[in-house]
Amino acid sequence: MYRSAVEQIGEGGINLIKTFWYISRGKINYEEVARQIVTTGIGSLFIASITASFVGLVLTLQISNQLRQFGAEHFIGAIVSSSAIRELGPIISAIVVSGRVGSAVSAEIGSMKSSEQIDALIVFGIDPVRYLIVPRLLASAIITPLLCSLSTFLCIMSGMVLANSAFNLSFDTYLDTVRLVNTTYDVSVMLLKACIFGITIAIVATTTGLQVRGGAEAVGEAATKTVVWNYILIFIFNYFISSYFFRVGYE
Amino acid sequence: MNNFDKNEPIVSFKNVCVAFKNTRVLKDLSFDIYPGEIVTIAGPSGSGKSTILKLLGNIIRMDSGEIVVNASRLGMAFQKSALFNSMTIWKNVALALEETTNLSKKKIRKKVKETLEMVSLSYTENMYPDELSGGMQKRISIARALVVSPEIILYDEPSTGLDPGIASKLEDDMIKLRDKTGVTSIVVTHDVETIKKVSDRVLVLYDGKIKWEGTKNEFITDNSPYPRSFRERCTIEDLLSQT
Repeated sequence: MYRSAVEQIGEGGINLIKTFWYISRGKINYEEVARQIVTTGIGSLFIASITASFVGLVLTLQISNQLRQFGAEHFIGAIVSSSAIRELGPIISAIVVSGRVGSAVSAEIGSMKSSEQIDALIVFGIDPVRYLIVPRLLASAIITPLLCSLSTFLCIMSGMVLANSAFNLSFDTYLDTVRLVNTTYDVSVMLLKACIFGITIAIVATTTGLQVRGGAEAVGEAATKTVVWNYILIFIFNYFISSYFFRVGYE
Repeated sequence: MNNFDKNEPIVSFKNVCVAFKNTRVLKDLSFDIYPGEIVTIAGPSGSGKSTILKLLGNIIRMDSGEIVVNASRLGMAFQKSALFNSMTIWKNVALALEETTNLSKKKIRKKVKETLEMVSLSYTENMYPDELSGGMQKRISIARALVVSPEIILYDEPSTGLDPGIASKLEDDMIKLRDKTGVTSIVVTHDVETIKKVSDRVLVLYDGKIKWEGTKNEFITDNSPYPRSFRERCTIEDLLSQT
Protein backbone atom coordinates (compact mmCIF):
# COMPACT_ATOMS: atom_id res chain seq x y z
CA MET A 1 0.00 0.00 0.00
CA TYR A 2 2.79 2.44 0.96
CA ARG A 3 4.67 1.54 -2.25
CA SER A 4 1.54 2.21 -4.27
CA ALA A 5 1.08 5.58 -2.57
CA VAL A 6 4.71 6.56 -3.19
CA GLU A 7 4.41 5.48 -6.86
CA GLN A 8 1.20 7.48 -7.20
CA ILE A 9 2.77 10.62 -5.74
CA GLY A 10 5.91 10.20 -7.87
CA GLU A 11 3.97 9.68 -11.09
CA GLY A 12 1.63 12.54 -10.25
CA GLY A 13 4.63 14.83 -9.72
CA ILE A 14 6.19 13.82 -13.02
CA ASN A 15 2.87 14.31 -14.84
CA LEU A 16 2.49 17.76 -13.26
CA ILE A 17 5.97 18.84 -14.36
CA LYS A 18 5.42 17.50 -17.89
CA THR A 19 2.02 19.22 -18.08
CA PHE A 20 3.48 22.61 -17.15
CA TRP A 21 6.30 22.02 -19.63
CA TYR A 22 3.80 21.46 -22.44
CA ILE A 23 1.73 24.48 -21.36
CA SER A 24 4.85 26.68 -21.24
CA ARG A 25 5.68 25.60 -24.83
CA GLY A 26 2.15 26.44 -25.95
CA LYS A 27 1.32 22.83 -26.84
CA ILE A 28 -2.33 23.19 -25.92
CA ASN A 29 -5.35 21.82 -27.75
CA TYR A 30 -7.65 24.82 -27.10
CA GLU A 31 -10.63 23.11 -28.73
CA GLU A 32 -10.34 20.21 -26.26
CA VAL A 33 -9.85 22.61 -23.32
CA ALA A 34 -13.07 24.41 -24.30
CA ARG A 35 -14.90 21.09 -24.65
CA GLN A 36 -13.71 19.99 -21.21
CA ILE A 37 -14.75 23.32 -19.64
CA VAL A 38 -18.23 23.06 -21.11
CA THR A 39 -18.80 19.41 -20.21
CA THR A 40 -17.32 19.59 -16.71
CA GLY A 41 -18.37 23.11 -15.81
CA ILE A 42 -21.97 23.12 -16.93
CA GLY A 43 -22.54 19.69 -15.43
CA SER A 44 -21.27 20.89 -12.04
CA LEU A 45 -23.24 24.17 -11.89
CA PHE A 46 -26.44 22.72 -10.47
CA ILE A 47 -24.86 20.63 -7.71
CA ALA A 48 -22.47 23.45 -6.72
CA SER A 49 -25.35 25.94 -6.54
CA ILE A 50 -27.56 23.73 -4.40
CA THR A 51 -24.72 22.72 -2.06
CA ALA A 52 -23.46 26.28 -1.58
CA SER A 53 -26.94 27.72 -1.03
CA PHE A 54 -27.81 25.22 1.69
CA VAL A 55 -24.41 25.58 3.37
CA GLY A 56 -25.08 29.35 3.48
CA LEU A 57 -28.50 28.76 5.01
CA VAL A 58 -27.35 26.36 7.71
CA LEU A 59 -24.32 28.49 8.55
CA THR A 60 -26.53 31.55 8.97
CA LEU A 61 -28.93 29.55 11.16
CA GLN A 62 -26.17 28.32 13.46
CA ILE A 63 -24.35 31.66 13.71
CA SER A 64 -27.52 33.69 14.27
CA ASN A 65 -28.47 31.70 17.31
CA GLN A 66 -25.03 32.17 18.81
CA LEU A 67 -24.79 35.88 17.95
CA ARG A 68 -28.30 36.63 19.24
CA GLN A 69 -27.18 35.65 22.75
CA PHE A 70 -24.72 38.53 22.63
CA GLY A 71 -27.00 40.92 20.72
CA ALA A 72 -24.65 40.85 17.77
CA GLU A 73 -26.97 39.60 14.97
CA HIS A 74 -25.86 42.43 12.70
CA PHE A 75 -22.50 40.64 12.31
CA ILE A 76 -24.10 37.63 10.59
CA GLY A 77 -23.08 38.91 7.15
CA ALA A 78 -19.49 39.42 8.24
CA ILE A 79 -19.11 35.89 9.60
CA VAL A 80 -21.00 34.11 6.82
CA SER A 81 -19.15 35.98 4.06
CA SER A 82 -15.67 35.61 5.53
CA SER A 83 -16.30 31.88 6.13
CA ALA A 84 -17.56 31.52 2.56
CA ILE A 85 -14.76 33.50 0.92
CA ARG A 86 -11.89 32.14 2.98
CA GLU A 87 -12.90 28.49 3.38
CA LEU A 88 -16.31 27.26 2.27
CA GLY A 89 -16.38 28.50 -1.33
CA PRO A 90 -13.08 26.88 -2.37
CA ILE A 91 -13.82 23.68 -0.40
CA ILE A 92 -17.37 23.28 -1.74
CA SER A 93 -16.30 23.82 -5.35
CA ALA A 94 -13.33 21.46 -4.96
CA ILE A 95 -15.51 18.74 -3.44
CA VAL A 96 -18.08 19.11 -6.21
CA VAL A 97 -15.44 19.06 -8.98
CA SER A 98 -13.60 16.14 -7.38
CA GLY A 99 -16.74 14.07 -6.81
CA ARG A 100 -18.36 14.77 -10.12
CA VAL A 101 -15.54 15.48 -12.56
CA GLY A 102 -12.47 13.87 -10.95
CA SER A 103 -14.05 10.44 -10.64
CA ALA A 104 -15.44 10.62 -14.20
CA VAL A 105 -12.05 11.63 -15.64
CA SER A 106 -10.33 8.84 -13.75
CA ALA A 107 -12.86 6.26 -14.98
CA GLU A 108 -12.64 7.56 -18.56
CA ILE A 109 -8.84 7.40 -18.68
CA GLY A 110 -8.82 4.10 -16.77
CA SER A 111 -11.12 2.47 -19.30
CA MET A 112 -8.96 3.89 -22.12
CA LYS A 113 -5.97 2.29 -20.43
CA SER A 114 -7.62 -1.11 -20.01
CA SER A 115 -8.79 -1.14 -23.63
CA GLU A 116 -5.25 -0.33 -24.93
CA GLN A 117 -6.24 3.14 -26.17
CA ILE A 118 -3.44 4.74 -24.14
CA ASP A 119 -0.98 2.23 -25.63
CA ALA A 120 -2.26 3.24 -29.08
CA LEU A 121 -1.48 6.90 -28.35
CA ILE A 122 2.05 5.98 -27.26
CA VAL A 123 2.69 3.88 -30.38
CA PHE A 124 1.55 6.79 -32.59
CA GLY A 125 4.00 9.07 -30.80
CA ILE A 126 1.30 11.04 -28.98
CA ASP A 127 2.22 11.69 -25.35
CA PRO A 128 -0.84 10.89 -23.18
CA VAL A 129 0.22 13.72 -20.87
CA ARG A 130 -0.08 16.29 -23.68
CA TYR A 131 -3.19 14.76 -25.22
CA LEU A 132 -5.17 13.85 -22.10
CA ILE A 133 -3.77 15.64 -19.04
CA VAL A 134 -3.00 19.14 -20.39
CA PRO A 135 -6.59 19.98 -21.52
CA ARG A 136 -8.16 18.42 -18.43
CA LEU A 137 -5.80 20.23 -16.06
CA LEU A 138 -6.37 23.59 -17.75
CA ALA A 139 -10.13 23.06 -17.76
CA SER A 140 -10.13 22.10 -14.09
CA ALA A 141 -7.86 25.05 -13.16
CA ILE A 142 -10.29 27.42 -14.91
CA ILE A 143 -13.60 25.87 -13.91
CA THR A 144 -12.87 25.36 -10.19
CA PRO A 145 -12.30 29.10 -9.47
CA LEU A 146 -15.43 29.95 -11.50
CA LEU A 147 -17.51 27.45 -9.55
CA CYS A 148 -15.88 28.72 -6.37
CA SER A 149 -16.96 32.30 -7.17
CA LEU A 150 -20.51 31.12 -7.83
CA SER A 151 -20.58 28.96 -4.68
CA THR A 152 -19.29 31.80 -2.53
CA PHE A 153 -21.79 34.26 -3.99
CA LEU A 154 -24.72 31.89 -3.44
CA CYS A 155 -23.56 31.01 0.07
CA ILE A 156 -23.48 34.71 1.03
CA MET A 157 -26.78 35.49 -0.74
CA SER A 158 -28.68 32.59 0.79
CA GLY A 159 -27.40 33.69 4.21
CA MET A 160 -28.61 37.22 3.49
CA VAL A 161 -32.09 36.03 2.56
CA LEU A 162 -32.41 33.89 5.70
CA ALA A 163 -30.98 36.62 7.95
CA ASN A 164 -33.56 39.02 6.52
CA SER A 165 -36.56 36.72 6.66
CA ALA A 166 -35.89 34.94 9.95
CA PHE A 167 -33.99 37.54 11.96
CA ASN A 168 -35.20 40.83 10.41
CA LEU A 169 -31.68 41.85 9.44
CA SER A 170 -31.85 44.36 6.57
CA PHE A 171 -30.01 43.64 3.31
CA ASP A 172 -28.03 46.89 3.73
CA THR A 173 -26.78 45.98 7.21
CA TYR A 174 -25.84 42.48 6.05
CA LEU A 175 -23.96 43.79 2.98
CA ASP A 176 -22.25 46.57 4.98
CA THR A 177 -20.65 44.00 7.28
CA VAL A 178 -19.73 41.84 4.26
CA ARG A 179 -17.83 44.83 2.83
CA LEU A 180 -16.35 45.66 6.23
CA VAL A 181 -14.50 42.40 6.82
CA ASN A 182 -13.59 41.16 3.35
CA THR A 183 -10.86 42.57 1.15
CA THR A 184 -9.62 42.06 -2.41
CA TYR A 185 -6.77 40.10 -0.85
CA ASP A 186 -9.25 37.57 0.61
CA VAL A 187 -10.95 37.13 -2.76
CA SER A 188 -7.59 36.72 -4.54
CA VAL A 189 -6.52 34.02 -2.06
CA MET A 190 -9.90 32.31 -2.55
CA LEU A 191 -9.41 32.18 -6.32
CA LEU A 192 -5.81 31.01 -5.99
CA LYS A 193 -6.88 28.28 -3.57
CA ALA A 194 -9.60 27.10 -5.95
CA CYS A 195 -7.13 27.08 -8.84
CA ILE A 196 -4.65 24.95 -6.84
CA PHE A 197 -7.48 22.58 -5.89
CA GLY A 198 -8.50 22.34 -9.56
CA ILE A 199 -4.94 21.44 -10.59
CA THR A 200 -4.70 18.88 -7.77
CA ILE A 201 -8.00 17.25 -8.77
CA ALA A 202 -6.97 16.97 -12.43
CA ILE A 203 -3.52 15.53 -11.68
CA VAL A 204 -4.83 12.98 -9.17
CA ALA A 205 -7.69 11.91 -11.47
CA THR A 206 -5.58 11.55 -14.63
CA THR A 207 -2.64 9.90 -12.87
CA THR A 208 -4.91 7.39 -11.13
CA GLY A 209 -6.61 6.64 -14.45
CA LEU A 210 -3.28 6.08 -16.18
CA GLN A 211 -2.23 3.66 -13.43
CA VAL A 212 -5.17 1.32 -14.01
CA ARG A 213 -4.11 -2.31 -14.48
CA GLY A 214 -6.90 -4.72 -15.32
CA GLY A 215 -10.55 -4.49 -16.29
CA ALA A 216 -13.80 -2.93 -15.12
CA GLU A 217 -13.13 -3.56 -11.44
CA ALA A 218 -9.83 -1.70 -11.60
CA VAL A 219 -11.55 1.23 -13.35
CA GLY A 220 -14.11 1.44 -10.53
CA GLU A 221 -11.37 1.28 -7.92
CA ALA A 222 -9.50 4.09 -9.68
CA ALA A 223 -12.57 6.35 -9.58
CA THR A 224 -13.01 5.72 -5.85
CA LYS A 225 -9.29 6.17 -5.18
CA THR A 226 -9.37 9.50 -7.02
CA VAL A 227 -12.15 10.89 -4.83
CA VAL A 228 -10.51 9.67 -1.60
CA TRP A 229 -7.06 11.03 -2.50
CA ASN A 230 -8.50 14.33 -3.69
CA TYR A 231 -10.49 14.87 -0.49
CA ILE A 232 -7.41 14.13 1.63
CA LEU A 233 -5.15 16.42 -0.43
CA ILE A 234 -7.71 19.23 -0.67
CA PHE A 235 -8.11 19.42 3.11
CA ILE A 236 -4.35 19.20 3.74
CA PHE A 237 -3.53 21.83 1.08
CA ASN A 238 -6.37 24.01 2.37
CA TYR A 239 -4.82 24.18 5.83
CA PHE A 240 -1.33 25.02 4.58
CA ILE A 241 -2.51 27.60 2.03
CA SER A 242 -4.80 29.24 4.59
CA SER A 243 -2.13 29.37 7.28
CA TYR A 244 0.46 30.77 4.84
CA PHE A 245 -1.76 33.52 3.44
CA PHE A 246 -3.25 34.29 6.84
CA ARG A 247 0.25 34.99 8.14
CA VAL A 248 1.37 36.89 5.04
CA GLY A 249 -1.89 38.88 4.87
CA TYR A 250 -1.68 40.11 8.44
CA GLU A 251 2.00 40.93 8.24
CA MET B 1 7.43 0.77 -51.49
CA ASN B 2 10.06 1.12 -48.76
CA ASN B 3 13.68 1.06 -49.92
CA PHE B 4 15.65 -0.94 -47.40
CA ASP B 5 18.66 -3.22 -47.83
CA LYS B 6 17.00 -6.62 -47.69
CA ASN B 7 20.09 -8.11 -46.00
CA GLU B 8 20.19 -5.60 -43.15
CA PRO B 9 17.80 -6.40 -40.29
CA ILE B 10 15.09 -3.78 -39.82
CA VAL B 11 14.51 -5.05 -36.28
CA SER B 12 17.15 -6.70 -34.15
CA PHE B 13 16.71 -8.01 -30.60
CA LYS B 14 19.95 -8.80 -28.77
CA ASN B 15 19.80 -10.55 -25.39
CA VAL B 16 16.67 -8.71 -24.35
CA CYS B 17 15.37 -9.39 -20.85
CA VAL B 18 12.07 -8.19 -19.41
CA ALA B 19 10.60 -9.03 -16.01
CA PHE B 20 7.27 -7.99 -14.49
CA LYS B 21 7.65 -7.83 -10.72
CA ASN B 22 9.40 -11.15 -9.98
CA THR B 23 8.43 -12.98 -13.19
CA ARG B 24 10.95 -13.06 -16.03
CA VAL B 25 8.95 -12.83 -19.24
CA LEU B 26 11.73 -12.51 -21.84
CA LYS B 27 15.06 -14.21 -21.13
CA ASP B 28 18.04 -13.17 -23.28
CA LEU B 29 15.80 -13.00 -26.33
CA SER B 30 17.60 -12.55 -29.64
CA PHE B 31 16.27 -12.50 -33.20
CA ASP B 32 16.41 -10.45 -36.42
CA ILE B 33 13.64 -9.39 -38.78
CA TYR B 34 14.37 -8.29 -42.34
CA PRO B 35 12.63 -5.62 -44.46
CA GLY B 36 9.43 -6.64 -46.25
CA GLU B 37 9.01 -9.90 -44.33
CA ILE B 38 5.85 -11.08 -42.64
CA VAL B 39 7.22 -12.69 -39.50
CA THR B 40 4.88 -14.49 -37.16
CA ILE B 41 5.81 -14.80 -33.53
CA ALA B 42 3.87 -17.77 -32.21
CA GLY B 43 3.71 -19.07 -28.69
CA PRO B 44 1.38 -20.19 -25.95
CA SER B 45 -0.46 -17.63 -23.81
CA GLY B 46 1.87 -15.89 -21.38
CA SER B 47 5.00 -16.72 -23.38
CA GLY B 48 5.83 -13.04 -23.88
CA LYS B 49 4.61 -12.51 -27.46
CA SER B 50 2.74 -9.28 -26.82
CA THR B 51 5.62 -8.05 -24.65
CA ILE B 52 7.79 -8.03 -27.80
CA LEU B 53 5.28 -5.78 -29.58
CA LYS B 54 5.00 -3.51 -26.52
CA LEU B 55 8.78 -3.14 -26.48
CA LEU B 56 8.79 -2.20 -30.17
CA GLY B 57 5.93 0.25 -29.63
CA ASN B 58 7.76 1.93 -26.70
CA ILE B 59 4.87 1.01 -24.42
CA ILE B 60 7.16 -0.76 -21.94
CA ARG B 61 10.91 -0.73 -21.33
CA MET B 62 13.32 -3.64 -21.29
CA ASP B 63 15.45 -4.46 -18.25
CA SER B 64 18.58 -5.30 -20.23
CA GLY B 65 19.76 -6.08 -23.75
CA GLU B 66 19.56 -4.09 -26.96
CA ILE B 67 16.82 -3.45 -29.50
CA VAL B 68 17.78 -1.91 -32.84
CA VAL B 69 14.96 -0.63 -35.05
CA ASN B 70 16.05 0.80 -38.40
CA ALA B 71 12.76 2.51 -39.09
CA SER B 72 11.25 5.81 -38.06
CA ARG B 73 7.55 5.12 -38.57
CA LEU B 74 5.72 2.30 -36.87
CA GLY B 75 2.06 1.32 -36.78
CA MET B 76 0.27 -1.15 -34.57
CA ALA B 77 -3.05 -2.97 -34.91
CA PHE B 78 -4.15 -3.90 -31.41
CA GLN B 79 -5.73 -7.13 -30.17
CA LYS B 80 -8.80 -5.25 -28.85
CA SER B 81 -8.68 -2.77 -31.77
CA ALA B 82 -8.15 0.06 -29.23
CA LEU B 83 -10.23 2.53 -31.23
CA PHE B 84 -11.20 5.76 -29.47
CA ASN B 85 -14.89 5.29 -28.68
CA SER B 86 -15.68 9.00 -28.44
CA MET B 87 -14.33 9.72 -31.94
CA THR B 88 -15.72 8.97 -35.38
CA ILE B 89 -13.85 6.49 -37.56
CA TRP B 90 -12.49 9.39 -39.62
CA LYS B 91 -11.12 11.09 -36.50
CA ASN B 92 -9.68 7.79 -35.23
CA VAL B 93 -7.70 7.32 -38.42
CA ALA B 94 -6.74 10.99 -38.77
CA LEU B 95 -5.60 11.46 -35.16
CA ALA B 96 -1.96 10.37 -35.57
CA LEU B 97 -1.54 12.64 -38.62
CA GLU B 98 -3.19 15.61 -36.90
CA GLU B 99 -1.13 15.26 -33.75
CA THR B 100 2.29 14.26 -35.05
CA THR B 101 2.65 15.86 -38.51
CA ASN B 102 2.35 19.32 -40.04
CA LEU B 103 0.20 18.12 -42.93
CA SER B 104 -2.58 20.44 -44.06
CA LYS B 105 -6.21 19.46 -43.37
CA LYS B 106 -6.69 18.86 -47.09
CA LYS B 107 -3.75 16.42 -47.26
CA ILE B 108 -4.89 14.64 -44.09
CA ARG B 109 -8.40 14.24 -45.54
CA LYS B 110 -6.96 12.76 -48.75
CA LYS B 111 -4.65 10.40 -46.89
CA VAL B 112 -7.40 9.17 -44.52
CA LYS B 113 -9.75 8.62 -47.47
CA GLU B 114 -7.12 6.58 -49.33
CA THR B 115 -6.33 4.51 -46.25
CA LEU B 116 -9.97 3.74 -45.53
CA GLU B 117 -10.39 2.73 -49.19
CA MET B 118 -7.41 0.38 -48.78
CA VAL B 119 -9.34 -1.59 -46.14
CA SER B 120 -12.63 -1.17 -48.09
CA LEU B 121 -14.31 0.76 -45.27
CA SER B 122 -14.49 4.33 -46.59
CA TYR B 123 -18.27 4.39 -46.04
CA THR B 124 -17.76 4.11 -42.25
CA GLU B 125 -15.95 7.45 -41.82
CA ASN B 126 -18.83 9.18 -40.03
CA MET B 127 -19.68 6.20 -37.85
CA TYR B 128 -18.46 5.47 -34.32
CA PRO B 129 -16.47 2.32 -33.36
CA ASP B 130 -19.33 0.72 -31.44
CA GLU B 131 -21.47 0.84 -34.60
CA LEU B 132 -19.05 -1.54 -36.36
CA SER B 133 -18.58 -5.31 -36.08
CA GLY B 134 -15.45 -6.78 -34.45
CA GLY B 135 -13.94 -7.59 -37.85
CA MET B 136 -14.56 -4.07 -39.15
CA GLN B 137 -13.03 -2.59 -36.00
CA LYS B 138 -9.90 -4.69 -36.56
CA ARG B 139 -9.67 -3.44 -40.14
CA ILE B 140 -10.08 0.17 -38.98
CA SER B 141 -7.35 -0.50 -36.44
CA ILE B 142 -5.13 -1.63 -39.34
CA ALA B 143 -6.11 1.49 -41.34
CA ARG B 144 -5.17 3.65 -38.35
CA ALA B 145 -1.79 1.92 -38.19
CA LEU B 146 -1.28 2.33 -41.95
CA VAL B 147 -2.19 6.00 -42.22
CA VAL B 148 1.24 7.13 -41.01
CA SER B 149 2.87 5.13 -43.88
CA PRO B 150 4.72 2.88 -41.44
CA GLU B 151 7.87 0.99 -42.33
CA ILE B 152 6.92 -1.65 -39.78
CA ILE B 153 3.41 -2.73 -38.81
CA LEU B 154 2.74 -4.76 -35.68
CA TYR B 155 -0.31 -7.02 -35.51
CA ASP B 156 -1.33 -8.25 -32.05
CA GLU B 157 -3.52 -11.37 -32.32
CA PRO B 158 -5.23 -10.14 -35.51
CA SER B 159 -7.67 -13.04 -35.90
CA THR B 160 -8.64 -13.45 -32.23
CA GLY B 161 -12.38 -13.12 -31.68
CA LEU B 162 -13.25 -13.18 -35.39
CA ASP B 163 -15.22 -15.84 -37.23
CA PRO B 164 -13.14 -17.88 -39.72
CA GLY B 165 -14.44 -16.09 -42.83
CA ILE B 166 -13.71 -12.59 -41.49
CA ALA B 167 -10.34 -13.74 -40.10
CA SER B 168 -9.41 -15.13 -43.53
CA LYS B 169 -10.36 -11.83 -45.23
CA LEU B 170 -8.28 -9.90 -42.70
CA GLU B 171 -5.31 -12.18 -43.37
CA ASP B 172 -5.73 -11.60 -47.14
CA ASP B 173 -5.66 -7.84 -46.43
CA MET B 174 -2.43 -8.22 -44.43
CA ILE B 175 -0.71 -10.02 -47.30
CA LYS B 176 -2.05 -7.54 -49.90
CA LEU B 177 -0.82 -4.58 -47.84
CA ARG B 178 2.66 -6.05 -47.59
CA ASP B 179 2.74 -6.78 -51.33
CA LYS B 180 1.45 -3.30 -52.17
CA THR B 181 3.48 -1.18 -49.73
CA GLY B 182 6.44 -3.40 -48.85
CA VAL B 183 5.75 -2.84 -45.15
CA THR B 184 7.54 -5.18 -42.75
CA SER B 185 4.91 -7.03 -40.77
CA ILE B 186 5.35 -8.60 -37.33
CA VAL B 187 2.39 -10.73 -36.36
CA VAL B 188 1.87 -12.08 -32.87
CA THR B 189 -0.58 -14.95 -32.73
CA HIS B 190 -1.30 -18.44 -31.46
CA ASP B 191 -3.79 -19.14 -34.26
CA VAL B 192 -2.35 -21.91 -36.45
CA GLU B 193 -4.46 -20.91 -39.47
CA THR B 194 -3.11 -17.35 -39.38
CA ILE B 195 0.44 -18.68 -39.00
CA LYS B 196 0.03 -21.00 -42.00
CA LYS B 197 -1.57 -18.35 -44.18
CA VAL B 198 0.38 -15.13 -43.69
CA SER B 199 3.90 -16.05 -42.55
CA ASP B 200 7.10 -15.83 -44.55
CA ARG B 201 8.93 -16.90 -41.41
CA VAL B 202 7.76 -18.24 -38.06
CA LEU B 203 9.43 -17.79 -34.66
CA VAL B 204 8.11 -19.96 -31.84
CA LEU B 205 8.50 -18.30 -28.47
CA TYR B 206 8.47 -20.48 -25.38
CA ASP B 207 9.56 -19.69 -21.84
CA GLY B 208 10.84 -16.26 -22.89
CA LYS B 209 13.13 -17.50 -25.66
CA ILE B 210 12.90 -18.31 -29.38
CA LYS B 211 12.88 -22.12 -29.37
CA TRP B 212 12.15 -22.74 -33.04
CA GLU B 213 12.52 -20.76 -36.25
CA GLY B 214 11.62 -21.66 -39.81
CA THR B 215 9.63 -20.90 -42.93
CA LYS B 216 5.90 -21.43 -43.24
CA ASN B 217 6.45 -24.75 -45.05
CA GLU B 218 8.86 -25.92 -42.37
CA PHE B 219 6.31 -24.98 -39.74
CA ILE B 220 3.75 -27.19 -41.49
CA THR B 221 6.06 -30.21 -41.91
CA ASP B 222 8.66 -30.10 -39.12
CA ASN B 223 8.30 -32.73 -36.38
CA SER B 224 9.88 -30.67 -33.63
CA PRO B 225 7.53 -30.37 -30.60
CA TYR B 226 7.29 -26.59 -31.01
CA PRO B 227 5.51 -26.35 -34.40
CA ARG B 228 3.75 -29.66 -33.75
CA SER B 229 2.10 -28.34 -30.61
CA PHE B 230 0.25 -25.78 -32.75
CA ARG B 231 -0.68 -28.19 -35.51
CA GLU B 232 -1.83 -30.93 -33.13
CA ARG B 233 -3.49 -28.51 -30.69
CA CYS B 234 -1.68 -29.81 -27.62
CA THR B 235 0.66 -28.18 -25.14
CA ILE B 236 4.38 -27.93 -25.75
CA GLU B 237 4.94 -29.46 -22.30
CA ASP B 238 3.05 -32.62 -23.31
CA LEU B 239 5.15 -33.06 -26.45
CA LEU B 240 8.41 -32.29 -24.67
CA SER B 241 7.61 -34.94 -22.04
CA GLN B 242 7.14 -37.56 -24.80
CA THR B 243 10.57 -36.92 -26.36
